[in-house]
Amino acid sequence: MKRDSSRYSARQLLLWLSYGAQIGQGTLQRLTGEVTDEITESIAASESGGFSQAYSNEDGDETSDTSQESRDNDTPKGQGARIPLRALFEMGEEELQKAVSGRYRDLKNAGAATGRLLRARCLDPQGLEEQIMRTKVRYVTILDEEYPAKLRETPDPPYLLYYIGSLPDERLPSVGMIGTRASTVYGRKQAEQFASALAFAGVQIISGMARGIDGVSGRSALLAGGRSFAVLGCGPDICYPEENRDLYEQLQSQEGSGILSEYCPGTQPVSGLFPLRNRIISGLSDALLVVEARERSGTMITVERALDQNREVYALPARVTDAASSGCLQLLRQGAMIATRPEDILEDIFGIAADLRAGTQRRHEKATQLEMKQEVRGKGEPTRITGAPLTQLEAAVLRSLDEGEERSADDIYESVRKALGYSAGIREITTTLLMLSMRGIVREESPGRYTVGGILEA
Amino acid sequence: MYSCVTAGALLGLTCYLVRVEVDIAPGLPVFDIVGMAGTPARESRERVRVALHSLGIRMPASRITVSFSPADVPKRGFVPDLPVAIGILICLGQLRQEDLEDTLISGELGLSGEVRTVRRGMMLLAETAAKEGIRTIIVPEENTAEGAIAADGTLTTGSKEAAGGTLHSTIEAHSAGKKNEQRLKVIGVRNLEDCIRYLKTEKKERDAVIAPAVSRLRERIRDDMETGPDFSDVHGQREAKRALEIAAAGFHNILMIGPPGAGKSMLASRLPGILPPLSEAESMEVTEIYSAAGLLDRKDPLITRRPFLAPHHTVTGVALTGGGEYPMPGLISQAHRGVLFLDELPEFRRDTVNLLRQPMEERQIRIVRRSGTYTYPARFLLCAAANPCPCGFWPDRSRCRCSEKDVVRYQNRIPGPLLDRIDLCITLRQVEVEELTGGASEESSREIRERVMRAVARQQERFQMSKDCRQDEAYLQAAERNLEELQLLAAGQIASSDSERNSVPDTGSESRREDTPSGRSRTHFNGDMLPAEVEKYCALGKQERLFAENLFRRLKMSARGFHRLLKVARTIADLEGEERILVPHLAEAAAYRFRFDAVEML
Repeated sequence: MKRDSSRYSARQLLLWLSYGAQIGQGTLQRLTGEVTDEITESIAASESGGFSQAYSNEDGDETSDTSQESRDNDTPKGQGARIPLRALFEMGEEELQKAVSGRYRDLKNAGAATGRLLRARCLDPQGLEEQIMRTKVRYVTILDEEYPAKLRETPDPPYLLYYIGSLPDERLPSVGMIGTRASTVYGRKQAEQFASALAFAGVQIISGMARGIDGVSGRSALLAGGRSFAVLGCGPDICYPEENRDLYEQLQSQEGSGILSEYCPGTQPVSGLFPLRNRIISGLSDALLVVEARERSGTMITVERALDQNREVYALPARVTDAASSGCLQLLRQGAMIATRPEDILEDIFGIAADLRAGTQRRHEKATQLEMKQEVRGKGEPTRITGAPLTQLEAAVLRSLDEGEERSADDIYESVRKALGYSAGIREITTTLLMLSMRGIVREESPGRYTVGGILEA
Repeated sequence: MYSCVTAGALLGLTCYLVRVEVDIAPGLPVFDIVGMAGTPARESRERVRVALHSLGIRMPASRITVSFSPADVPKRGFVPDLPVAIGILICLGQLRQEDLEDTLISGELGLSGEVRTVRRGMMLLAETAAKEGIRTIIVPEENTAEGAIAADGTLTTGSKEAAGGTLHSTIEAHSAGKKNEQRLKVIGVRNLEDCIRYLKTEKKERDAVIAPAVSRLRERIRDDMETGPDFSDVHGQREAKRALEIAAAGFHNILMIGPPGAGKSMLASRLPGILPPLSEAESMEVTEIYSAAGLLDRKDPLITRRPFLAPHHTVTGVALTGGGEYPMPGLISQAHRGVLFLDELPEFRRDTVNLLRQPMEERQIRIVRRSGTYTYPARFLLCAAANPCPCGFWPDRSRCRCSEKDVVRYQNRIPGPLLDRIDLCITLRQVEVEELTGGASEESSREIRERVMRAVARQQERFQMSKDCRQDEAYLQAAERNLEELQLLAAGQIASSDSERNSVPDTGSESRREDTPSGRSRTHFNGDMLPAEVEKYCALGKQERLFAENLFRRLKMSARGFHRLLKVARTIADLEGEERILVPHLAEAAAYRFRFDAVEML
């Protein structure tokens, strides 16, 4: 029984494949080969009234496929002919089964793919399109003009991209910011610095919305009034991880920012999906900044993708003893660009002269209203905080704290005593830390441990 | 012939006297034991027969009747061997009734005639005997030390010296040469023969036969106070030490969170050492509990140090609260007046930990059994320790890969109702090598204890506690309940609960506590304070109130959290010698709140 796909645009068919049949990138490639090529051919074929002569061609190895669907592809491909896109929709059941299993060596996976395709037969591509229109989720296919050009040029662009809010603006520069989920105070601080400075200067920040560095980057970019994007490892309608729900909501509501995903709405966050989405983060960016990562971590996989895509990779240095940054240090050894200040990146992107950059930084800092921090840090002798003079004890405590590292009363005990010349007891130090945190001058990062630097008021 | 011997039986924490009556009458040979005797009591028939036989005394072929009075109280664990034997001997004319004037007899008999140790309650028995006017008790030799505690007049409440102060001061009084009145003669016998010999002797010469036991326990008390693990053994961890000082001063429950090896267990085991030394009355209290549990050392029965109990996290609920068919005091009662240390708190079963809630409220535990309801005191300081996360090293990023969610989830394993009763929470970190090898001098337990005792003195004044803790409402209630129980039993109303669980339905803990009998206070320390008392004793000045309100808002406290904050601030002020609670006290107290339930990180 032959069905007719000519009523539907290629775009709708792609939506049908992704949303209806839940055919992932890997499966589609296995079945049809390079999507772009095949679409053109099949459009031509439908116009001429028949299938094009597909040629059997063993493509080169796919990009690192660990997705659920690409488990279909874990065994070497079969020798069957490639299936044109429309054929997936039109072919009779038996024919489809044969054709699909021809593309697989492991028949079980072939069966799964066929099953999904067949079950989706009852869904109407037009209906699906309308259904999606009713939600806030939008989508763009690789055939569309709006599809991000940068991404299209990568070796393995997703054939369909869902999004809520906006897509990154092609005319503006984009930087991907990634890092570990188990971040340190230092990493988070730097992510905040870089993201806000870059965003303030008009750079779009692309990240993963994961715990740790990703979340900080995304948030800070928003807070600086810039454009922030998150590519998810699940459907765009699902917020994962839950603790970043505030970020999730804001990315949708803030003008110019957005949530992106190649997975159809409803797809649950399964660990296999995450490495794949990393290629999209780097694919959408002009450059990738690795803020804090361990060697052999998920973040490093993203770096590989970025290198495949010919993107510039920046790494943030840290102390050689910082385990959390061991990956960054390794990258630097291997030749990644070093980024010590946002200007380093801005320079390369915009080629702006030094004094202008300095201006940007100053404006940026005023805009985030961190005057308190300004007075405390860097000038050597903190003496006043927004009007109230500091006691000697308070000054000694502040001097013993650090921006990048959280310290407890026990940790600073010796240093405070030395600074004061007379002995202060542990209870005075504990009390002082708490009072300073109440005034917003120090921040309690984890129970009992403080850093200096005000709290960013949202 | 008829005879009557006084013996004693144990029920929970109370002893009552049992009259053992023996009658030998002509008739068919029969040996009847009546009076709701338990199995051991009924079996004593055989032991007595053989023991007497070992002395060459044959049981007559007559109708022997042994009766225990009160007749309608089921006597459990009651072993009347020696009293019955003596009673029979009186009936046989070997001894005279007058020989037993004002005397109580207790002991199990071996088949060879030796008198065997009474496993539990000897001290309580001696106490009861003394109260009832008995002058002499004859007990197994091994039990004499225990009995002697009760015998010693100065070590019991009621005497003027006892009301005075600590054990320490009593020693001073003693070494100053004051004569101690023995209110009871404690005679230890090794076998039936000795017992008979003693009783046959004229009263005046009896002391020459067997000398009454004298407690030589005082000498040990002085040593005990100075030995024991010391705070100076622990390097660094100043914050934790400070928090423990506050906990000790106000009897606040405390939770320590930190990585393995930080020293949590070490510090916990040193906590009893900075608590004020046991007063005599407290010491007696605790000794009584251990006596009822049968845990006293035979040679050294007086408990002079604050108990420290550290059950493993696989402990059962019954072991913790007390139980068994004839309930023995559980771990929480054994920790009475001392420290109960729960290491690895999240590893404990939730339902086991929840059992602690009510005893912590009421300072006692009620165990309901078919045989009756037993009430034991359980006023302990809860010290708990936990890792911050499953791997233990958070927030040290070089070792910990746990997310903040993992941390919160791990901390959620500590049941909320228990956290609500923990006033102090302190985070420890890994000890730096400089601290371990640095050789900096650390404060000793004694120095800390002195500060603690000053704060405790202020609380004693505040709550007008008499030094005699027997006024402790919970303790008295416990004792009273046990007696009530006896009366109920006598009246035939045995508690009918068949359930083995000791749950008394929670009728709303707040209301329960408030209707305490007038005149008796439940509150000894700041940690005990009820909301009404917090309002009364922790009143804040205007500036302080503003600060407290600010704290409440910024730190997102609950009402209970605020209440705890004030109690701790009160103790901190006491430690500083301040009558009023000031802003720094509030601030420091706020630093010890629990805040792992909503760890906010970006």
